[in-house]
Amino acid sequence: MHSDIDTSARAVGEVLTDEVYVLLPDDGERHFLGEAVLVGIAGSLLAAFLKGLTAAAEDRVEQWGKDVGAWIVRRVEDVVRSEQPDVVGTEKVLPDAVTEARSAFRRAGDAQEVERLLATALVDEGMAASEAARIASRVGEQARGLLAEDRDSSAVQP
Amino acid sequence: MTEDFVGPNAALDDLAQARVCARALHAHENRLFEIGYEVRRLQRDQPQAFPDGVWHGVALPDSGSWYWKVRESGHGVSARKLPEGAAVGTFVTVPRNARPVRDRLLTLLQRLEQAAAVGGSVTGDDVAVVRQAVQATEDDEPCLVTERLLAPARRGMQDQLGPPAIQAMLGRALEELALMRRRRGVDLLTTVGVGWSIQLFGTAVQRASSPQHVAWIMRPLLTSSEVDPMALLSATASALLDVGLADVLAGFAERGREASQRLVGQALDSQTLEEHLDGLFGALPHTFSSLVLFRFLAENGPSEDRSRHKKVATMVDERVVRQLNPFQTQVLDLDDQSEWRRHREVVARERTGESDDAARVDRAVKKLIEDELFYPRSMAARLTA
Repeated sequence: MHSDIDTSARAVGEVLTDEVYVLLPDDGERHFLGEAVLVGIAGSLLAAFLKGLTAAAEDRVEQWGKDVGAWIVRRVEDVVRSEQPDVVGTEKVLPDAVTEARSAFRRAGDAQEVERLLATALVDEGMAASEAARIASRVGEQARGLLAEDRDSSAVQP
Repeated sequence: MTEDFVGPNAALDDLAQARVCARALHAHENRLFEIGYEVRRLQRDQPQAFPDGVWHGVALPDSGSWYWKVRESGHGVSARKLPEGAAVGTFVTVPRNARPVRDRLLTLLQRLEQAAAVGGSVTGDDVAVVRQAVQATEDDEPCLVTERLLAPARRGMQDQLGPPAIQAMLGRALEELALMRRRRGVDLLTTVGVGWSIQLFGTAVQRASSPQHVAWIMRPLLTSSEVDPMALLSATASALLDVGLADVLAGFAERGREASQRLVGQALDSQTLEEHLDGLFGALPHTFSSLVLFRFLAENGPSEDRSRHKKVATMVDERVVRQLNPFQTQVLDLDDQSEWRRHREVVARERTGESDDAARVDRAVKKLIEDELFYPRSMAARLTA
């Protein structure tokens, strides 16, 4: 499963441009992001989306939408501070989010709503609307792919 | 050097090289650009002096120092102050009068003048264009442009003319700016910075009810209009905020950010390196001006928007750096195409022994082209050849 997660995070990382600088911590330092950090940030966005699916299944997606921007910013700060950012992004938080979302995910409509709320949160953080929509769309596509792959592989488990 | 590694700058003649250098010098405040160039040149020539994982620094003119560190992961940080307890690896001090890019441009100009004198492919007009570009790098040029354009409006305020008359004067100033741009080669940063200021003043004056109100709105001009275009833009922003026009400022900043991205897209779609730099040269003033306004709004704007504007300013600041670096890279590459060779080696390394070779190579090329903006998309195939 981890290689799928890594592939998905990298696929999200491909659409992250300098717009992600709006998510960086305000610490008086200037950051220039390497690929590993971008993948870590992408992993955080994927985890946020999957947590949104879980929240939707528990009828608390609106609250998730209000909190997710701050959650992502905190995660990005962890990623930026880490000496091995890809580990932070994918090894623990993201697999846990996949597992939770797999058991909670109910319907496609929830995913669309989570995608919309994620884009809104990114705009609230300062991202241009077109970029936010593009990123949220890629995150949603990869998250749904991860869940589908997960279901496919669990179907053949004894 | 093998035939394979001959870079795109190898075939540039003196005139084309002069154009690259001239655009580079116009791309940013001269002294800072020259210092950034010197640091890049040292990093290229003495890579062992700048190891990863160690803080390095550079002295800035009259404004302290700047420090940076690149981690092995490729993530880097920079700051105005060295973190407590951290040691400095290499600290660069560029001599106060060092102007390596301008000196290079002057040498090229001298060669062009000699070539034009004996006839051949270089014409007197070609040389005049380059000479004009060199003259425009004089430090006081943008300030003189600002003074010339805005002096009539200042006199109008002193004569207590009403809002319609001042608006008409500002309209004429915009027209003259466009004319100056066409005739005298006023640099784009001046054009956009002063142009935005005039338009912002015009918007504010529309809401003025009396000559006194106009004078209050445009008071930055009363002290002096002989200022750097970006300083004028910042002073203009302050005046607009005082009359409750933060939304107008934010609108200009957003439109600048969008225009910058659109122009970068055009630069990426160009066919040659020279066209590519032309496109970035068009984008940069919009990016700079947008940064000035977002920074101002982050520090002085409505409190509920400050956090967001600060984040956007950080992003636009990063965009400025990415748009400036290609100019330094291309001037460096004029020496021996070593930048091109290094980038080709980066791409080639991704091709070795992995199952997802193609994806890794694509990512490396995308990084150089779409993230770092070093080349137009049309050169992707040459990077991988």
